[in-house]
Amino acid sequence: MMKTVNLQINSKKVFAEEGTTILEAARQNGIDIPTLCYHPRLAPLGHCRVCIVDVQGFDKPITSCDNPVAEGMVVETTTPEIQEMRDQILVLSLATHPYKDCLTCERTGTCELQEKAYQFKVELPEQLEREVPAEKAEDNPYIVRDEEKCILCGRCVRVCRTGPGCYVYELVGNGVNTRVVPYKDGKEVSMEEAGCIFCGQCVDVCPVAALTETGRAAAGREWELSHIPGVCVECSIGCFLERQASGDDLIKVTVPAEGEKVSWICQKGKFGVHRPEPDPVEAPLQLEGSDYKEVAYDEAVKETARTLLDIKEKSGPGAVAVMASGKQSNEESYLLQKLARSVLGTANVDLGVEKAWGQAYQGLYKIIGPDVCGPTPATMQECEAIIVIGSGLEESHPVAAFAVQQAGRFGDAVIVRISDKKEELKSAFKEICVEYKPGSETAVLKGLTAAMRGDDLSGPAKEAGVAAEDLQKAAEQVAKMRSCTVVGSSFFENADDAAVEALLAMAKAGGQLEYGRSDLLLLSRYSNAAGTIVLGGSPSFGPGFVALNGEAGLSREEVASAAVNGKVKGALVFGDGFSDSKPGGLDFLAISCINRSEVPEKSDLVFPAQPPERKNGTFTNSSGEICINKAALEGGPESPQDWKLICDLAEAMGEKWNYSSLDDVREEMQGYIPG
Amino acid sequence: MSKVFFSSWNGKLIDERNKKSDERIDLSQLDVPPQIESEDLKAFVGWAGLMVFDPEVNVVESLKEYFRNVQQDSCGRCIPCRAGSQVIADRLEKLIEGNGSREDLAFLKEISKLVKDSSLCELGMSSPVPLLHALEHFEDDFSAYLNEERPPAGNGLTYRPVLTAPCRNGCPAHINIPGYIECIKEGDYEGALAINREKTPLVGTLGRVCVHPCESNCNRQPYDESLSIRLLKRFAADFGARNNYDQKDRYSKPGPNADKVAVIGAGPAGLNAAYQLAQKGYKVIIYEALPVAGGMLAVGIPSYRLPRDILNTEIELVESLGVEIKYNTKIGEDIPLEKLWDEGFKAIFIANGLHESANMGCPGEDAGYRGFMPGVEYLRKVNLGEKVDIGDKVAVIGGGNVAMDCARSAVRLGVKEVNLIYRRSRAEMPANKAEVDAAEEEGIKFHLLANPTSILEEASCVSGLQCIEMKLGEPDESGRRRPEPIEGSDFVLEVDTVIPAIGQVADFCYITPECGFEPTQKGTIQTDPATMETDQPGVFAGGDVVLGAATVIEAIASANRAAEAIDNYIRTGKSKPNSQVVKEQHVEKMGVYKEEVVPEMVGGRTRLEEEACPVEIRVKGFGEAELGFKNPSEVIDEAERCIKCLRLGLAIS
Repeated sequence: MMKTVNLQINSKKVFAEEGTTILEAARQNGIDIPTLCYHPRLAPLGHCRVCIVDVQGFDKPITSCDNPVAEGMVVETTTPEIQEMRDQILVLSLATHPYKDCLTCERTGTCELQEKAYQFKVELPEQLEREVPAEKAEDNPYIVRDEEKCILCGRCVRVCRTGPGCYVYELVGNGVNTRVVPYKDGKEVSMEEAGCIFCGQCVDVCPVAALTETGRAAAGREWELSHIPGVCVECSIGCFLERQASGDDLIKVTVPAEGEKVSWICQKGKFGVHRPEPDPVEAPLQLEGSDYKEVAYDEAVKETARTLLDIKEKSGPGAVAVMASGKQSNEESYLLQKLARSVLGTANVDLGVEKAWGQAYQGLYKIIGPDVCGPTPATMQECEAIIVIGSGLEESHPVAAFAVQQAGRFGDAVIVRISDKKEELKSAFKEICVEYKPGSETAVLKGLTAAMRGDDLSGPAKEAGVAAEDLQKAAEQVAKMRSCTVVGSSFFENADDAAVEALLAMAKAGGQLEYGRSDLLLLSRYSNAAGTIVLGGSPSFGPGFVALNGEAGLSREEVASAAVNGKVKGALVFGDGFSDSKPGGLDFLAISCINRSEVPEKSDLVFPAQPPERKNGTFTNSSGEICINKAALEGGPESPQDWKLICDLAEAMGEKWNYSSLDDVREEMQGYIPG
Repeated sequence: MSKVFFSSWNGKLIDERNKKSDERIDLSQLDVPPQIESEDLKAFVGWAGLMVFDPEVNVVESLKEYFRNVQQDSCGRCIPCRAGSQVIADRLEKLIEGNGSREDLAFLKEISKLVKDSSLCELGMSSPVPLLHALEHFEDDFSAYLNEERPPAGNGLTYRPVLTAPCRNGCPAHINIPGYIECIKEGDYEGALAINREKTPLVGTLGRVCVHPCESNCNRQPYDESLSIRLLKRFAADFGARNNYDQKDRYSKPGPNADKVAVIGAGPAGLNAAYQLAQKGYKVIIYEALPVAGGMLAVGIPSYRLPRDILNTEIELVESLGVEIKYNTKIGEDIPLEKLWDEGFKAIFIANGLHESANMGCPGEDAGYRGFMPGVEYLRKVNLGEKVDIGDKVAVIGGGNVAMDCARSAVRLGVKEVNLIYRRSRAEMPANKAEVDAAEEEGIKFHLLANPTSILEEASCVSGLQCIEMKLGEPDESGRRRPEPIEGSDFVLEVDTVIPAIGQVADFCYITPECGFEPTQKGTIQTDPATMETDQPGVFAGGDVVLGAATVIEAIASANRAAEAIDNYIRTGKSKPNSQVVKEQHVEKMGVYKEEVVPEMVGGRTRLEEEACPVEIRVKGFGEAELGFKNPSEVIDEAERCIKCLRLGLAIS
């Protein structure tokens, strides 16, 4: 139970939990104290000194952002003297900021310095000379640095360290010539050389236009931008984000500053919008000879429907396959598998679920029951031990890697890494690395489980090529603590049934799984695997997470080889990643892609697909959270929403589905979502 | 000028301006050294006010210089100090150039108050103080710039700025403590390690064994408790060690034709001097008499206090800079000191420490009885893993850290009864309190206020120790009360092993009539305190052999001073001390920590303490007894207690 502290702010008697800062306590009670360097996502910096308040008994004002409340404290947030000091501090800050640029600056309207100047109405000072580069630094394709505008709040330095755990920025120099620069080994370097992975969080927290996204300049005024909540679909972590658009242009993607949606993001989520060379499929295309010709939408739909039905007629439903990239929405997954199963009659449905991952998810589900969310990057910070299984988390699910890193470096977690690759120690304070022989996942997990139970682990340890003492040490760390396990997608590439079983047994032995609670995070290489599997998008499970057992269809790998053998003759694919060119033996391939570069060579028909910024739908991330993505931009008439395309295909195949909106789809879907 | 013209220092106003110069009070009454680098101190502008000794000093110019220096040292994190100090300096310059107005004087007062009352750290909070005092007491000097009789610009003065803090000043090596604590606050543990490594490679070592004089100077003490500075240092070192952060690429190393410097002794002083000299481009060869490097770190302090892997990694760092250690080579015995000049060395640094035990003056100690083992030799054997001829009942004599090391090692060797005899009371024991407490926890029996009078033997083996009880009389020259025997209170302790640990002395086998210097009466080598040079030019010395049995950090500090002076000597023929060292020594004498000043803040907290290995486990072997900090979040909370008491002084001569 947290202790309650009673105090007085501006003659108002208030109370707050012990440990609350004066600023937070004031805001909780509707009293606003001006700030400049404060950011709700970061620990207080105490740099700008704008938030100073008068506290009875103190000779000088004190900062409210980084001082806790105390019993009986009497606070005045604004007196004439305090406001005078705030004004002077703001004037000093303006003296080192080229406020004349306000006219054309990208941040005008949302600039926090400008806002203070408007609120305080100070007399604008003469500029103090600063030794900073006059030119903007544009040494990379994502972030632009304009040091002249920097007010040295320190937020970027802090978010870089505590978010992705990179140490790109440092404060160098002294006095007014202090600068925030990318720094490494004692010298100023480019962002990339300083280790930047371009998650863009520094840009999101910058109060002014010292840091902006490349391409932001002259792309629309801040007040013209719409703010549409959404979710990232680049990996199965599914970070919440906000897309900001101006008309039909996506201008930037940010992470909301506060509220329940406080979260993280990586380069793919923040800058993914700048695909290397966006080359959108603008209209349906048909292969003619070796070239593609634009064709009318209705025709393309009819052709696809007719050809697939034909193949079904002549060679049976087993000769047809329906697949997707794993980035499609829940609604699309549901409709696509419905098209496949009830219209085309095929069980060859693989919309993005690895076999082993699916098995693990089912096993997990059986233990924890419905409607239970697993660990998120935020809840991982509270764990005393984090087991990381598999390798390559930094590339496959960067935000999971950030969360582990943060828990180990700033938090108190012991990180236990179990991997078949020798990975460099990653800068946690307490870390145990267990390297097992490639291919012996089952053995190492059995060994760890045995160690946690106090059983004999010499057999599994030997098989896994791991010293028994190392497994003992790892088990000790987990046994008595609040722990969670993060399983990277690399694990599911090679895992067999035994490995999946061993994984669940280990998590259970570690106290991470019970009915109603899950501390196991299963990361899939398919972004929406958790949504897809439940709605019938995997070959082994029908809608409602019903095991198909003897009636399971072919997975995408099996489809690929079956196509070569001529057993599968027709395929309908939504999204990229299927293959580089139509597999030999496949007579017909209809595919829906966002960019031309994603289209496999020799595909017969190509439909334009929506990027996430144009798509309405829900997605389920690996933690089990269902997130709503709202389209930030309208789709053109030539590109109806993907879900509509599926309905049109169904209709062309003779089934009229009467969904007037996505809500109708969702209503039907509800019946299949367990819980 | 050794008279005080004006002083507002430390809240005490001394205004002698209307008196005749011979009537004014003397400088020495203010604890201010009258000279700096052989120049007369004419004024001092600093964090606690303004002191003027020479009436000719231009106070306005001095303050402008002061604020230009504040800008140089302002870290840039807070707006008032970063921008305010620049505005103040600019405005003072404008005044000096003759373009000022009366409004400027009012403005200077206002902005000084802003910087003083709203800055983040003490640099901003204290630097306006001398300006406010000057504006109040030297108004005429400022007004003189408003009319045509401007004083001439530039006055041939030398300005020596020194940035310090109470903790930093209290550290003999003047490590940038506020700097590395700030790095830890911000989660930059590697940065904290790098800052420590500016002064020494022995960061993990100090994090475990340093006596932390910084903590006794911590400004938080009057408010709640000092910061756990030593353990924060240890955390940074441990973090770096666990993440292989050796930073080896950052170091510059000597080239192939580098000048050579000889170092005698691979203890902390020798290693540190080698570390600094190698980075300055010298090829260093260390002659070490023992088969291991580390000096007392390796053969004095037991491994339960300083794990050998920590020490050895830090020694390896020194070796990676091209430093060569020649083991089992005793200068004086194997190679005469003078021969080193023939080998082409340009300078010699003697740091062979105090590796012999001091005599107790107790009958029987020189008789060679079995069971009598001088503490230094006993510890060396234990630390080198040699078999020790120890019995079942041991008496250790002494009250310092060495005595604790002897006693606690005996427990770990399985001795059933370990007694500690000390002639004064517990409060006077020079050992670290934590060591004394831990020794008691481990079951060592303390016999305080007792002194041995003779060693009893049977068949040439120790059979007991005759002691007498003591009482504390008048203080002696060290300030501690002199112990006096109580008539008739003799008693015998039945022991079979006696280990005296009451002091250490040097082995001066290398000193010959021709070497150019002699040991002092105290049994040390005399050197210039700033350059560490002996009476023989080119021969320098540091560590215990100069300081007497002192601490690791003092050895390191002396080595750093020597390295600077050696570098100067080799390049210019003169061993000039580093001016930073001089300035720090100057303010050290002035005193930076003032315990009467209670900082104003919200929410006091006790300091973070480390975990100790449980007694039952730790006495069974030589595994590490104290475990340091465990949780990064707590470490950051502890670092946030630092109020960054940076203080800038400007010595004007």
